Amino acid sequence: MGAGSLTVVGTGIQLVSQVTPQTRAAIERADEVLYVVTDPLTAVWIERLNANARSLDRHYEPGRDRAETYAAIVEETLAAVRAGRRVCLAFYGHPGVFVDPGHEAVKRAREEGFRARMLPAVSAEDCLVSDLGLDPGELGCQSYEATAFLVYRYRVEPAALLVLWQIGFLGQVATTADPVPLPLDVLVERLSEHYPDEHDVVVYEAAVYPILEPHVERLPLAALPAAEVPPMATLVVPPAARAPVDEAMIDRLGLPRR
Amino acid sequence: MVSEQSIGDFLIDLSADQERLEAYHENAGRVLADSGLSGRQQAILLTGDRLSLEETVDRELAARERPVPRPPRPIRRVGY
Repeated sequence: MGAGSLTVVGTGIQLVSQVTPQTRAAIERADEVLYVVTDPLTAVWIERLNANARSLDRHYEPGRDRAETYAAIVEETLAAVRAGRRVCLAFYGHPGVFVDPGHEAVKRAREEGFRARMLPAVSAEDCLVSDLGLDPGELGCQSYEATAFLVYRYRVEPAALLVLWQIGFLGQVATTADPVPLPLDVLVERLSEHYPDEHDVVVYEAAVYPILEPHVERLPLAALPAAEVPPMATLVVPPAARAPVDEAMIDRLGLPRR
Repeated sequence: MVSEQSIGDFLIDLSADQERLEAYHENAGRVLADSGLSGRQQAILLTGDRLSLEETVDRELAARERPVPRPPRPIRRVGY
């Protein structure tokens, strides 16, 4: 096993307050910390914790395809590991939820014979569950990246909760410096195949600073194209129907009828 | 002249101190009164407006010649 090692961590969604003790220790003890965070105060905090920390945000050039950006992040991380350093790669949120380079860096480091692990962290989904009072275990939950939801024609289950991530970047694959119009009308058209126009949906964005409230806007589905959609927003579509009960299965499993 | 504490430093210190953060949620005015922040800074925090806070933080960091650019959002994968 090589001398270098990799620990991939997440700083949570809210500034510092959601960092686990395990993650804090990994950042403090690393020889090198590479990070991608969206809040500059988190960057300041990381650099105070470890003087050998640097941002990887320069890989996000306007117009550059994200796949290239992620490959560059993984390559810079692996180069430090190969140099024999104990490397900590930090992302905001959970480092394995909607983070290609987090998983890829661990996989590549292991393939090259280095110790590599990913630590759990607080994700945007964790904040959503708490802020909106939703339990994904109650009626089930479908969860998709919003653009992928449109591209792949997944089967929608209207009896379950539907969560669509990154609607603030619907239809975009490259980094853009300026906001671009979102094809929310296309998303509504797709959802209208399964939900009535007046069905209430929620545009949600977790608060980045723990003293702020989350962005929560409830509105009818048909009003979504005119809604204010923050960059990191998620669309939550509550169930519109009850799933049918399979009475024969209840009997087969010997469960009591309710 | 006493130099003004920055809102950014206040937010980092507050967020890193869970007990003080809980105290802020219970009574923001009391924590702010002991913060060393100016009345203008306290007002910015109490508005609870994210954009105002972010603009203030960016201005403070720029004044310190400590460039911390905001990477384009999101950093997440677009899923296809």
